[in-house]
Amino acid sequence: MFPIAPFRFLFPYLRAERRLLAFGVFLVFVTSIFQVLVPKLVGAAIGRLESGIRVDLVPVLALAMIGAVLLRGVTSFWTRQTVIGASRRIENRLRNHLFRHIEGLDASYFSSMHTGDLMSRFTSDVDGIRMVLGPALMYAIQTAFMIVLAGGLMLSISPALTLYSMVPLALLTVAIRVIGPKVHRESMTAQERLADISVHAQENFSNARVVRAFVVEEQESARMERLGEAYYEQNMRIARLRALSGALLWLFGDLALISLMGFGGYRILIHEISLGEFAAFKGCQLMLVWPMIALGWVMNLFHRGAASAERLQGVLDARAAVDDREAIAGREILEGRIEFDRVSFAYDGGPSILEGISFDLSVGGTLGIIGATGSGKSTLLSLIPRLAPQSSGEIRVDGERIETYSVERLREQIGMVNQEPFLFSATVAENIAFGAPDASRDEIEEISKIVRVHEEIARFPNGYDQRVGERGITLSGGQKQRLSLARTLITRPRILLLDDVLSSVDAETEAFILTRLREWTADLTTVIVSHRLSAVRHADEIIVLDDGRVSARGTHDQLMTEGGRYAELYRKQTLEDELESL
Amino acid sequence: MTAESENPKRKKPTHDLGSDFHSEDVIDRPFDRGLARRLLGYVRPYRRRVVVSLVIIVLGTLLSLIGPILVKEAIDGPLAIGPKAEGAAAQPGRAASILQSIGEAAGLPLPGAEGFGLDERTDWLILIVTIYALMLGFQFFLRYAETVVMSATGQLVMRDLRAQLFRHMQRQEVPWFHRNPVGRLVTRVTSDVESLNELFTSGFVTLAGDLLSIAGVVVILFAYDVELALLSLSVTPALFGITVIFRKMARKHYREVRRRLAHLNAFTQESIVGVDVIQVTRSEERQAVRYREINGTLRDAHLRSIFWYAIFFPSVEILSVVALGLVVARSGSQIAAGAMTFGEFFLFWTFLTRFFTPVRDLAEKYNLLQAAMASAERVFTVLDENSALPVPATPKEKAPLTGAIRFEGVSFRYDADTPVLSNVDFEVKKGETVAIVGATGAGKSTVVNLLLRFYDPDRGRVTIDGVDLREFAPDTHRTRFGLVLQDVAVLSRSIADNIDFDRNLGRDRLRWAAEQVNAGRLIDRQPHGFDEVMKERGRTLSSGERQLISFARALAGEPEILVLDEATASLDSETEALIQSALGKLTEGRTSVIIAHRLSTIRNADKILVFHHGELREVGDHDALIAKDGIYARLYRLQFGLGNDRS
Repeated sequence: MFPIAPFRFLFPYLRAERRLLAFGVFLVFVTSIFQVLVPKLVGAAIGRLESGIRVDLVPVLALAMIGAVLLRGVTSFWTRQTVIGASRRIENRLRNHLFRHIEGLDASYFSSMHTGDLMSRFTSDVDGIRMVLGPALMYAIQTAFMIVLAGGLMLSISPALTLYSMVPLALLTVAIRVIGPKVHRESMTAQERLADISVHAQENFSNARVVRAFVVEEQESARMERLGEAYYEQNMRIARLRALSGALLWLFGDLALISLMGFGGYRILIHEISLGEFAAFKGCQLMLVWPMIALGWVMNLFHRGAASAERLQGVLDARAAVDDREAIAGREILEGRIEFDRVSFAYDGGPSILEGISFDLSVGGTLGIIGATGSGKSTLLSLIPRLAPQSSGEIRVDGERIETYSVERLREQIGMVNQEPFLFSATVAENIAFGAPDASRDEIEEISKIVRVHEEIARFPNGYDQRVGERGITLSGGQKQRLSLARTLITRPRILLLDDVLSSVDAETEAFILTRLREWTADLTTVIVSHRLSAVRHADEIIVLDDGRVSARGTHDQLMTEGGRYAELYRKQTLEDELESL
Repeated sequence: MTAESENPKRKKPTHDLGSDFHSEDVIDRPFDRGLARRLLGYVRPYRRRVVVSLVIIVLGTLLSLIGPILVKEAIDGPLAIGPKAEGAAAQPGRAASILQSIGEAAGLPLPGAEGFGLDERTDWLILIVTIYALMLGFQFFLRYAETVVMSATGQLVMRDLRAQLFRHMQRQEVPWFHRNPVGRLVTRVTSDVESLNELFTSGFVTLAGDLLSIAGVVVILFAYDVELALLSLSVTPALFGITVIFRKMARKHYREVRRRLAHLNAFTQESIVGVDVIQVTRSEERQAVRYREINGTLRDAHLRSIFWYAIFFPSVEILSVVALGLVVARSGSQIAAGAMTFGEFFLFWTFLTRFFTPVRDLAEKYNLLQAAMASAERVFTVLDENSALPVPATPKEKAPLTGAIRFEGVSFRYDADTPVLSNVDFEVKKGETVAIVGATGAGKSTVVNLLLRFYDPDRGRVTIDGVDLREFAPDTHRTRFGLVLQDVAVLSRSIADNIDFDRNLGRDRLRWAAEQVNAGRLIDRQPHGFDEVMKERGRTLSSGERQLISFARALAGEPEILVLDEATASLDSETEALIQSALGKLTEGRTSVIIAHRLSTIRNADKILVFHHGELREVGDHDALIAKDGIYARLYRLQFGLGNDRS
């Protein structure tokens, strides 16, 4: 009925809240007692009236009743505060934990998961678990207490009557338990139908030109109507199920009352129970209707929650492929020399992306990498800060295998800038200082001048405090690239990895930035991946990557003399520049 | 995060508003009579359903009032024992007398009659229980029907509104779609319409049911005992007070929670997308701290809103029991004095609980209403916009092209600052294949946009056989063309549907078109052949294959004029050859305007137009332009002249 096993990993979270939870259980218990007192008191009052003995006690009983409910109000207020509060705190910690865990996973994990899927772990799955630990748990316990207390009271009045009136209530639980999952399933289908509508709208709006060119607006509308019709029908399927379950709830609830009237009435007639007891019984029964509905609902929550728990467990079980197992304590990058020794890379079971790459890059040197899209340039760069582990071969920094540095120490001295610059929705200054929150405004400005973005920032309405991204201004591709470069430089790395970072910047600005960079730190070891040859032209060595292998290497002059792909590319680009200036 | 950036006075670039969907989510709108009236207009076609559901609700409410009365009659009738029983039975109320006539019809002796013993009482009890049970069965069907009819109404209204909205959007022109981000438009069609459904399903009609139920209870209570009714309903003002306060506070906190949740989700999403930046800058810990902060504020908002929920439910409960306590206290003396029966006491008890639930529910519904109003307003805003091209009063009839398409002194800019085309003049004669070449941003696609009249030129005119395009109705004008765009629109439908594109051309024509453009083999290769359903954006196909599909789409309509934006994507040699020959068949004897990237297309063109920075710089055929050694010659060398000539 209640799958527990999937929730096992949550025990530590429960333990952290054990005091509150225990207190909550106690409160639920007290609440239930006060609650059962009400019908008991009503019954007693009627008993007085019926027998005519001590009728003067009736107002006192009425007062006692109000007193009991007041107390019950206090405890149930407290229960909610305690239990639901605890569940919110657990949810909060669980999310924090999940977030920290995901941050530590490496590139291969993220490439295997959609952002949307990961997001739903944070939203619907965490919520599914909270529903179990909060309301579901609270109602489960409450139902249990109510069944014991109210049931006990009912049993003491008449065991047979208890049996008769509990049958419809039990059926109620069964109905919820049976129809609930059906509704859930149909709702999932309805979500798919809605997604169809959404996809159609999306495709239609994104292809507005084609739709108009082919003059099929009318037909597209007709298609939307068909999809709307299908969605309507699916929703009606759900509505019918909902209608059924709603009507059944009432039916069973009232059946319980009827059976009490029939069987209980007869027992009054044969003087087996009194009217007062009958009233108390009726009160208890009314009180059990909701808990029995809740029971079915709680079971459904448990099942849905279990599925969420399993998915979360899946994420939490994922381990980063890169760890500090071989790290030697205290080892740091002091110079920044890089060696690749027959390095290969492939994703699990996939085709090899890099094959036997070797090079030697001395301190302060520059390596240029060129190659077509998909030739493995970006992957090569990502191996150096260990964003992914190489499949074979060795990568050494300062002559030591990178695995012997802790990830922390290694990345501390490596600055990497991505091809697709990603900025956070924050101010310009916050974005630049993302990796160095202590950086002063002067430092931020100094770096901005190096990457030649200072003047543009100064023209923003709020200067360095200008918000960018969502809810802020939209930056051009070139501005984003230069800001993300600044973000990296401000951490003052010894090794700089640039992945085609200035593709959206004009050639002159690029040349300026690269020159300023060399002046800024003479012993900065740099690897530059670029589509534009002017960026790698002055490199100490240039590698031409072709399908994950080195197809040519040498200095600019050597490669030009060789006359292969490099030389061809170079001529093309010169021509392009020439054309641009016409 | 600075205060200034929140300043509403600052002009934000319009294209940025689209990404601002989080804040849009939270906006609610107070109830608005005008909006409500407009919404009700959508219900008009279904007014019979509404009437039916109202009838059902009235019936159901009445029936549900009978149950407790039956219980009362049972207690005061057959179950009545002791000294007061006879007194009560002596003067039967209206319900009791109806019941008695039913009993008489069933041949049961009247209570209080001679020899009215245990057996007779039992028979009466059975009769009452039977009536109750029958009523219950009837009620079961009513309840079922009520929900189904009501949901159907809401769903139908939603379906109609969505269809109307989408149809309206189809009438908008390309510039409108450029102004409105796709994501925002999709939201209008999906979730905004969706939240209106709530309004109908659990709004209007249930509201009526709740109010009716409350009124019924009040009437019955007063009918039985005015004093007791007044006494038990004396808590109502307090109940309303509490409900109003709760509604206000719950809403306030709910909005706060949603706002913070949206913030947290945005932060999470950003951190997932930007995880490599976080890792490379070793900011994991700092980022986690910020996450904890935001997550903490969400938790606190949750905790604050729990307080109100925690206090509301017990408060209502307490009030209802206070009312019950008052009833018990007072009825005690009444019963003792013989002025009231036990049955009446039970009646009050049951009805009191019936009274409190709907009153409590009413508060929730108001919140729903406000969210729906906001959605309604957004939907209606779109419906009130209109960007359809003006149709001339007497549009020119479309006649087959005999002479030429002409651009005459055409200038155009999308926005005020950047001219895209300046003073362009050229003509495409019937049957000619014209290639347009130029670097990215030279204005090539704009020529296509003007030709199909997605936009009108700022200066100059575009003519077909001497008639300005603006003199045709846009639809009829466009049916001349077959358009193939570089960014091929493969939709998530079957291949057949992708080629047909909703024109109902018939399977044979589709097949013929597919064969003509060499897509036959590609289609045969699919597990379900022609009926293979494509993945989103056709990602299971290569770019060349997608191109073939869109060729087939254009050819299937047998257009008079072919407009084609050739893809630059690198193709394997086999597909390349397929495309070349397909292109040959497409353009054969057909007037064609091609934004060309492939050498063979350019070479075979009758005329080449070279665009550079929005100007038409060179016109001529391949040999003439090469001989000229201008821009074309350079472009040509750049793309093909480096020992890498694929053709």
